[in-house]
Amino acid sequence: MDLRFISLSEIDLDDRSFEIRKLGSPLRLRESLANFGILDPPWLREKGKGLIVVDGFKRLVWAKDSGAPGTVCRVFSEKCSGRDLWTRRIEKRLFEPGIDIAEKAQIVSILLELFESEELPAPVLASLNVTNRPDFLRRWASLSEKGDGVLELLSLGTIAERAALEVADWDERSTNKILTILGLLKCSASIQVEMIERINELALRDGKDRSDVMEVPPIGEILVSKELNHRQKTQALRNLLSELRFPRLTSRQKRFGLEVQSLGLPPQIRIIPPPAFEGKNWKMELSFTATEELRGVLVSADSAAMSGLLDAIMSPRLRETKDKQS
Amino acid sequence: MKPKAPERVIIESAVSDGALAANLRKNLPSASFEIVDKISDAKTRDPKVLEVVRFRGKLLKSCPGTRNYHCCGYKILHFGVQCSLGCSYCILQAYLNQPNLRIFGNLDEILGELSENLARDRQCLYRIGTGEFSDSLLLDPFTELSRSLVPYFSKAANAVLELKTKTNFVQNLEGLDHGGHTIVAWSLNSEEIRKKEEPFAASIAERLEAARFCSGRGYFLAFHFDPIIDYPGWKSGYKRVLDRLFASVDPARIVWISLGAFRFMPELKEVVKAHHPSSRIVYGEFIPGLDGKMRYFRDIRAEFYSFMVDEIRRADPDLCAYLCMEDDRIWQDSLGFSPEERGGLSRMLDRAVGKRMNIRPASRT
Repeated sequence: MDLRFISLSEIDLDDRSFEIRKLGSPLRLRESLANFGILDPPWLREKGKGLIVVDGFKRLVWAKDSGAPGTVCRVFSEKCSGRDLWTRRIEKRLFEPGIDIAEKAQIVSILLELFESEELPAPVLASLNVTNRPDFLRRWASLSEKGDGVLELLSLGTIAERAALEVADWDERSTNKILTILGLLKCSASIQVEMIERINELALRDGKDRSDVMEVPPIGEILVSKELNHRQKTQALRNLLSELRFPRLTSRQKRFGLEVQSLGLPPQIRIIPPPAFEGKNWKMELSFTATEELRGVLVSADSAAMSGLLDAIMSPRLRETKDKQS
Repeated sequence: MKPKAPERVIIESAVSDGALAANLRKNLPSASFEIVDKISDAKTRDPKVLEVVRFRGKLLKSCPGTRNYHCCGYKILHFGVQCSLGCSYCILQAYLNQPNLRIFGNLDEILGELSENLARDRQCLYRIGTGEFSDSLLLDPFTELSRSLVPYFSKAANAVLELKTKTNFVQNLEGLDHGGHTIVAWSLNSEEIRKKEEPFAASIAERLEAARFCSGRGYFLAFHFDPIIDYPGWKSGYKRVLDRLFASVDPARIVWISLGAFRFMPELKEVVKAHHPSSRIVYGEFIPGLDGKMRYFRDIRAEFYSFMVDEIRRADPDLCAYLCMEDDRIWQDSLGFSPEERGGLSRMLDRAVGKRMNIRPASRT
């Protein structure tokens, strides 16, 4: 490898064999190039009588567009193997700032092409914070195969890494749809994962395409609502997905709410069922500001407990029997 | 259903001269046999391999109940692990450290430990089964284990043996002196679930035919609707199987029918998704149970059980139907009583044994 001035006419800028696509905005790079020119020499490799780009596509295109005759480049001989060159190229990228999800996916995909699974360079995977497990690596590679539109959204950070891996195997239409939704909602990684999991499971349960699940009218209504801000939209969508995924549990929760309301308890009393109504640990929460208020609250709580209505709420079967009897 | 013969049998030297190894040599003439000092745990499953080891742990275990749900108080005679039936819902798939079919070759020690246990409390009725970590009869055509266990239990005054299976491999039970101490039990499901989720097990018709065979030879029977799985049309699906069951065998020969809705350790979900991608069973309305397992939301379970219990009671009001690992409220909602009201689930099952099989431990006669 040597450092020398290369005329741009010698370089085949269309050969993209060594490209790692960076799809975010190159604005900052353009600014820097305009102010300081090329500070870091691009990498080239000899190919026949010409040269191809290994690293520095954008810089070289800028040089060409600026009418520069050439620039100083680091040139690798044709004898340098593709694997060796890629390894160096990736190593260099690891020490540069801001590797986005799309780039990470491409790097993992390249590593999987270059190395057998047992030879994968652990330090590189560790630097990328990528779990060295076949299923994870496969998902990263699937992400890299997405179209430019999806990769661009990944670059922009529309979707969190964990969530991106969850949609790695989704079809293009579904991936585009979820990225559009997540772009609109701007929610946390854990909420993204939760929503993706719900959509995925609804599709699998009902034998539908994921995109069909996301295109049901109630989801559309939430997303286009003018009354809701992005946080409220997120919550409304979470509730809706939960209702679709757990219809009977949701229906029981709604019924429970109505039944508790029908008890006419004062607002200082809250009845809390066990999580998902599983088990027998029910709770009653009392709030008060003075002992006199507490006495009143206790009277109400006692009368609710003695009335038998609470038993009916706690046991739906008993409630049905009582309904029939009445 | 035909028995699938292992092609390679690996035997630990400590048990290579035992009766079980001899039976395998006799019944698997085409298999290769290899004797090794110790079999290490395999990393990946080889369906052609059968491992025969000397088990050094406790051979009689208690059914793994938890404090939040009523347990039947069943004892497990641990004779082997794994199963090759490959049912989508089976927890054995998640036992990654022992993926191969493995049986314990130290049969004498197994029976010795059993005798010690049975002698320890002669007033206790031991309900003992072998179908917890494997299918009781899957390998029986080759091991002939039933030919040792069934006669053994015929002489055990305070014990009954339950052989639980999804096969129809009951030929070895023919002509055995069972003394009315063996229950042959089948795990049953609706035909739709059988086809989708247990495709390598015997068909429902084959299982019921095998049950008739056993009943005809004086064996008592039991059935386990476990796991009951939610799907559109589950009521008609399960009703059809119950109708076929009661049309096939005399309900008076049935000691109990257990009911258990599908529940699973959370880690099984990924296994099912990876190994059975067409299965939909893990996408039901599951919530985390108090024992850490995922369970159908309680109203769904209560609906399953109420329906099944009503159908069972219609066929035989005295037949003992019980719920596997459920709490008081579910019992109340679906059966109309809690086990405590009847002395606990263990006592209920003991009474079923007394009533149907006429077996009562010394102090309770």
